[in-house]
Amino acid sequence: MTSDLDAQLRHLADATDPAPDPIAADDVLERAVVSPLRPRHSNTIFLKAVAAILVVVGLAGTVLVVRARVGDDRPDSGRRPPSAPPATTVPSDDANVDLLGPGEHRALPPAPIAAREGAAAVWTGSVVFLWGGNDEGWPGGNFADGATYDPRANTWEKLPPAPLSARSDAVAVWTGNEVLVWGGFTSKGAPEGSRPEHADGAAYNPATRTWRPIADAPITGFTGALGVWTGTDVVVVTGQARAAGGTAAAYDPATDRWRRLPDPPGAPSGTSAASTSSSLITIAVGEPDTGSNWSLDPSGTTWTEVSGAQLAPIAAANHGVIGLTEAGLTYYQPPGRPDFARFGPILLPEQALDGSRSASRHVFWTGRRMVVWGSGSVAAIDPMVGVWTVTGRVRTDDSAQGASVVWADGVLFSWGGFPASGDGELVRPVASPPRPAVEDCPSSTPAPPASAAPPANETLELTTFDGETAKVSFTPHAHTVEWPNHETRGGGDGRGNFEWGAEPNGSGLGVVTGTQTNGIVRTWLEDANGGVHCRGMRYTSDGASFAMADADVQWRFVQQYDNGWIVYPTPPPP
Amino acid sequence: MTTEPDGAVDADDAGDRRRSSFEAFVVAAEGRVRRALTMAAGPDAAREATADALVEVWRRWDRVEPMDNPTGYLYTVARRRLPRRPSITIVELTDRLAMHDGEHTVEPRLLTALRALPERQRIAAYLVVGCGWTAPEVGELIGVSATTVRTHLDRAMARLRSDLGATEDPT
Repeated sequence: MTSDLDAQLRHLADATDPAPDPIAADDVLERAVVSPLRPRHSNTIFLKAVAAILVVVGLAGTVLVVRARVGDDRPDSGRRPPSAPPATTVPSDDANVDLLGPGEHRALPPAPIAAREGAAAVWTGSVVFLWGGNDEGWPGGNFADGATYDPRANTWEKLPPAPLSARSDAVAVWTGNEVLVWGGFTSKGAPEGSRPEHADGAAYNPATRTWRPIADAPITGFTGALGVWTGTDVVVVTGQARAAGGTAAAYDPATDRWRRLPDPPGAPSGTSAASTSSSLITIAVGEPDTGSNWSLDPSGTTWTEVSGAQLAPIAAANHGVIGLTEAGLTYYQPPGRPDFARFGPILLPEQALDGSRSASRHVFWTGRRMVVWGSGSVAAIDPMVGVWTVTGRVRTDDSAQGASVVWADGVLFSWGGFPASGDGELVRPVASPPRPAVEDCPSSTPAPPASAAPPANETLELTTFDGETAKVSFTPHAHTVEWPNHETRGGGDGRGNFEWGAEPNGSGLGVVTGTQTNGIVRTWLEDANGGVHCRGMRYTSDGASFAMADADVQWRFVQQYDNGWIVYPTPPPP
Repeated sequence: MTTEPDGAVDADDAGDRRRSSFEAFVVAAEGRVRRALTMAAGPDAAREATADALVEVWRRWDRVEPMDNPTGYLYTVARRRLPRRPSITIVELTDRLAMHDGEHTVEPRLLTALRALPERQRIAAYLVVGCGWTAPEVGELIGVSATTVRTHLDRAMARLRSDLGATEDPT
């Protein structure tokens, strides 16, 4: 009977042999680029495993019968269907713009939780998630409850109890299907040394309205902790106001495991952090006047100081990071480019944003614009246009610090703040001016060189638009070039030429460096709809740089030649 | 006018090497992981979970490749992505089996006995006896020693024999 038992197990194995229909590496790589993962199922408990084996055996039995009747003429199960679209991680500029008119705001209805500051907050794609916080009381005064706000329904809903103790300043990160709440500390009003700091956390699934505890981190939270989702891990960085310096760790939801990352140098007094959309690169930044900016390399082993600007706060913007300096708007794009690319001195509207309170600013990248929530107003700028728009707020400046501020796909949500506030509002920023037409793009200056010849072998070097490859080279006029006074248009697959912007998670904010060419009259970007974009284009004898700022569109880089070259003038302050 | 930057070539080479090593890993590992997961959730769900896990592994390939046991890592990630519920009910399963009663080559009592085994015992019996894997291979996949696998296997086979009313072949 033993041999019979062995034989039956072998029959079962034969029926479930995956070899005839392997998963191709190309399919995996394609999915990694074009489609985020479907929501992860929670691990099965034993009873479900018992039920699952029935499925296995049932399917196996069925397969065996089919094979016995028709031999090996099994229908190919075919390739797996495409994954479901992402829950949301890609910001959108317009999903909720119909809720308010440009520049309009509305007060939120009363929340089902007490007034507070320091609540962890994040946008999930459909609701604003809020949890924890404090009312500055000591002892006590910390909260272990939370709520969600649905901007479309204009309603609040209280969260089920979390498996976490009361705390303030926890980190909340949206992973695409769960909100990860981690860290924080208790009793903000307590004396130094008597503030319990937390290493535990929990994940909340809005679809099932359930919490699950997660493994404890190898570090503890504190005020000013930062958290970002890299696509595979939640990276947290702590350190603000902590004499011993900062710490960092990464949590992998797939395995429920943490790993310690190297400590960020110094004692970061971080105000914000961001990760690029396609690789594990996290930036921690300090205060503009005292801090510094650090980038964590993709392997998570080394922090590198980013030179060129002190950038705070910041927001992830496509493959790079956009942020504010005291001088204005700046874009940083690691790796392989350890400095900042400026859009030119696009000065902040300081009269509206109050530069002395940068710590209370919040920066968001919407896929097209940068939106800044500051003291007294909301400012927005489309880098391709370069003009700030300013929208007043209903709320007073008193509650700006400690408020929970979230970009909710077209409207800006803010609630709570110091002193403990239960007020909140939605604001839709004023629209930015339209982008220019071709004739508005700057013409070439200075005079053309004496010997203008067709640039037959120009090569530029891309440092963006390919999440896996740091540098991409192309020959912009290798395809079609007519001379003089005709256009050169690149096209192709994005590796050897110009046809970028097709990535599903949005693309279009980047930097090109390379070698100057002769004979360019104008340089602009052209989208699939014929839109023309030239703001931010800078072309010098040392290289070219530009900014593209739309998501989900095909872009084309266009250069027009006419015995000269273009030097994009520095735009004047607004 | 200019030559192609060396940095771009280096980056392309590095990208190609990364891709090649991952492709080799997929060929070597995906079938093994999928086969093991089949015992937990069925072939379709196993395929789905493995494919999703491979995407995750690719995104962190720089970190996974140097691991001692990247296949074990893939298995761990994929196992966590198995569906919460089976895609077929017990009633439906019973109907299917009844429909083909007398023609299948797996005894229904074996199915019942298998489902009653602890997960690691079930995997050990299925992979070692059914699929012909060695104990070290199974141990590498599920993160235990070969000795532990043999223990699970002995207990699983004894339990199956007992449940099926079988006796050990003296030969």
